[in-house]
Amino acid sequence: MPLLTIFRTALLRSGTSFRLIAALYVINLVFAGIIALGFRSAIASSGGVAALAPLMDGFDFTIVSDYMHTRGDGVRAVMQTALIMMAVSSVGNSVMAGGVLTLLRDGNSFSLRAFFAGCGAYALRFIRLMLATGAVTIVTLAAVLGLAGSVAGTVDATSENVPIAWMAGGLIASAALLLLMLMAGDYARVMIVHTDARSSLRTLLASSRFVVRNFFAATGLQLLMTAVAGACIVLYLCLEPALPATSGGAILVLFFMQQFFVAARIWARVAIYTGELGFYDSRRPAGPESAW
Amino acid sequence: MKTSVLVVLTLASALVAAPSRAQQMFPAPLSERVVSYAIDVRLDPVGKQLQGRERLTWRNSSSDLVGELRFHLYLNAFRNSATTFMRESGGRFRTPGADDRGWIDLKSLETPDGTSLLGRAEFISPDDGNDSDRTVLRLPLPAPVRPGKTITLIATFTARLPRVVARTGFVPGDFIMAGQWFPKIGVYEPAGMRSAREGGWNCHQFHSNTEFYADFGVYDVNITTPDRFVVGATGLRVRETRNSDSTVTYAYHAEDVHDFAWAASPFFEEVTDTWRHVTIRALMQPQHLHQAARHIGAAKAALDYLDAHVGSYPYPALTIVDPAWGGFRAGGMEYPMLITAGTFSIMPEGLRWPETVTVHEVGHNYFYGMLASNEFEEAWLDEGLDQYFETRIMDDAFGARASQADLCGFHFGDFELTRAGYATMKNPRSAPIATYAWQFPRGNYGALTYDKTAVVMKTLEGMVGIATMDSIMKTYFRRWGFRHPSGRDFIAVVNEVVRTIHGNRFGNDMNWYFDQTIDGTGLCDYELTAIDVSPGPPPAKGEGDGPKEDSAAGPVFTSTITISRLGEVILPVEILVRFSDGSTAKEIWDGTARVKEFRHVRNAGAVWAGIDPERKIALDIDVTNNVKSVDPPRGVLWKYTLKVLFWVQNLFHFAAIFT
Repeated sequence: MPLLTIFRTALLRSGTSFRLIAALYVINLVFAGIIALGFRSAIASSGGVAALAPLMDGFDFTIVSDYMHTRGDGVRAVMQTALIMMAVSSVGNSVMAGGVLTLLRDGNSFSLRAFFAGCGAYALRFIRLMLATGAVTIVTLAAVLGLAGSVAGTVDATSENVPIAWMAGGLIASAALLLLMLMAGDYARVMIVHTDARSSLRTLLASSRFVVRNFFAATGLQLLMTAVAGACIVLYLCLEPALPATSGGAILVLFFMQQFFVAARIWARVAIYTGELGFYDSRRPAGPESAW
Repeated sequence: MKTSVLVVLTLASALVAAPSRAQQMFPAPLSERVVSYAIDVRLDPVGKQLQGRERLTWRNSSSDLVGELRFHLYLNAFRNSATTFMRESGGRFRTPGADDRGWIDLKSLETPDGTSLLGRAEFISPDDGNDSDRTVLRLPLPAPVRPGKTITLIATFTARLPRVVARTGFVPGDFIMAGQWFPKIGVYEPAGMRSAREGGWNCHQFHSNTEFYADFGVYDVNITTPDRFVVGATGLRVRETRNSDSTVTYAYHAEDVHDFAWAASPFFEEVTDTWRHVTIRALMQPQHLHQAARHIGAAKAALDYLDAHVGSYPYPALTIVDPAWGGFRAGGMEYPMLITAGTFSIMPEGLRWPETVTVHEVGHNYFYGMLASNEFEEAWLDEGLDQYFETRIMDDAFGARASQADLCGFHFGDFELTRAGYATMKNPRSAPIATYAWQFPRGNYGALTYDKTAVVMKTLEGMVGIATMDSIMKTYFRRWGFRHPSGRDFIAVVNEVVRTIHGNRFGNDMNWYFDQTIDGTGLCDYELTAIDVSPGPPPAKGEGDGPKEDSAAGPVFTSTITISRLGEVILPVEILVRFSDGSTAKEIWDGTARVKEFRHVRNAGAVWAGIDPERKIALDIDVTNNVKSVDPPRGVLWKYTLKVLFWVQNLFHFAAIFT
């Protein structure tokens, strides 16, 4: 199936997964909301709220730096909690990927029962897969960036352009490796859901082979989908400064705009899975297949 | 020999030895010209060595008999790991191996008649008694120098430049920054000069935090380098001679300066421009050539501003040196008529590091260059006042909220950053500003010398007004330019100008302010402690100022504003009160008491009160306790809560990339 057809089909099919996207959005909102309300509470109880009023009209470095210096402990604690929650959410997302892929594979309409059944069916395998993909990626990136960094740091150059080129090369190579690992991880999940393979590591190897064999098509699809998600963020960053949010109404508009973009990113993620499922279906050998 | 021949020879030698009229910078000396240096130096780019011959003439401008001379041999600070500089830097500047070390050795030291004095010389360590330190040389003289008389010495020396450290040295690839590279005589301070109680040499060792102090004079320096090198130096280039050995000798002449530095590299790209009478020469690294306009533009902005608010830049030249890759430690340094900046190939316009450094170092040509205070003992007079003007220039040129960075919606100004440098110190009470540079607790020199001084000056500006501040600076420059002012001299100027303009509005003098801020370690922190609004008139008896009644018929409210002085520093402060009917009231308080209450009886209750609403008291260490409102502002809370929500949502989403 041509790449653009898969892409178009993925966008259309994911567009019909409204309830699934809504469920993922609500989960994301609830957990992030806990952190955000913690942030609000930390600020409100710090005793310096009145001084923050000028921030309504824009950033004020003096107020922010003094605030963080004298009353920032609560905010710092909330931020640390957010980072811990980020790690927890990685595991949560792994588990939820089983539910998402099961629903997309079966093409059934969304039900919590089916969603959680899918989550439970693949939870352990997907968590192992996440750990394996993450570990391989971290080790590989550390090696590439470490090599590039050490060469950049020791190269005898009269211009920083030489070390910058080394670092840029390292970053580009790292980005390419990261993309490959992300694709391998995604297709491994797709293969597990398709074939019910038991071994996460073997499936990761099989999916890596699949990605390499179908490198251009798989990468093209991934880049197309990533571009859609990236465009959402870029659009937000362009629009946000135009909305200074200096009144209650404007803050409400800001909130809806933010949530629209968050939902768009979640939709883009679902669309990527849909596209990968379709692509894998179109390229796998006819008949039932086991990863091993 | 015939008399006529003698006359011709004498005239000819005079023409060779002294600069011609055309080479003179100024029709009349601007300074006392205590010293005169004529130096021939040859660069060995392979060994990173300088072979030099120096003819020094020193004039005893005091009324004392001076029986010894003292010299700085700064490069010896990098001679080994036991020097005072290295010890104090705690290994921060320790270089990897002997090949990277720097030193200077005197080969000979003679009078013009050939009498060697080298055997008399000894290294001394007047500051710490460190026997391993060879940065100060004492030379007892066979006969004292009488008041008004001169002594001439001829020295030959070999100097080895270190790998760039403390703003001097080399970078592999032939970037040379020759700073503090020659034997330099100290400053003889007679009793009464600055804080000297009796006559003596002010010639400190080279410390980790310290910079320099020297007398004004005339420099004639011939620099010989391989002909592939592009050279920039203090002064005017008056001659260029191509030699038979593929070298070039550049002759430089400088007047009324107290140091001489030069830089050389085969890779410099030269860009020139002019500002009024000044030729600005930027020696850029090829990869930074596209930023030459940023550097030159910043230099012009600084010269414009300083000319308008301090005094004229009299020199005809200014050279900006852009250090090579790996030479970051050569960047951000001031020498007379020559500064070093520093940038990277990728430097967005919104990051104003090159501009900031350039403005700062051009400013140093005033606060150090012409106002030649003692950087060892009173670093605040050069670094602090210069930092104050850097913030004024940058904020004027790029806006007070964006003069340091203005990128992707994130912005802050130069003064904002400078103030934060002081206000967010771990221990801002660790030492007074008036501390010898090497005696600051480790890590506190910069924040207290640069940042706190700038904040002290900004606060003074807030109190007396910018016009008075300019008048102070112009008077200080006019009176102390090309001399060696002390902190007391600066404060005396402040006292004089403030009293002339404001009478005794601030008291008989401003010593009360400088005692607290320059000599003291206390903090300034005023807090708006409470706003209490109660219906009805105030109780018959109460503490605080008598209630200010401003009520018409109708319901009456008594608003009590409580202010506390949490810090030790006492300054007059303004308090602004807003009432529910939109009216305001301003109070001025002398700031003395620990707690103070103000009462207002009006038809409307207070809804908001703020100390120092115009942020004139930059010294106030915490602006977040300066304001109180009856109802907390909910809008700002929600605005930032939602922003945090959005970014945490994205963070969680990002966490899903492996899942």
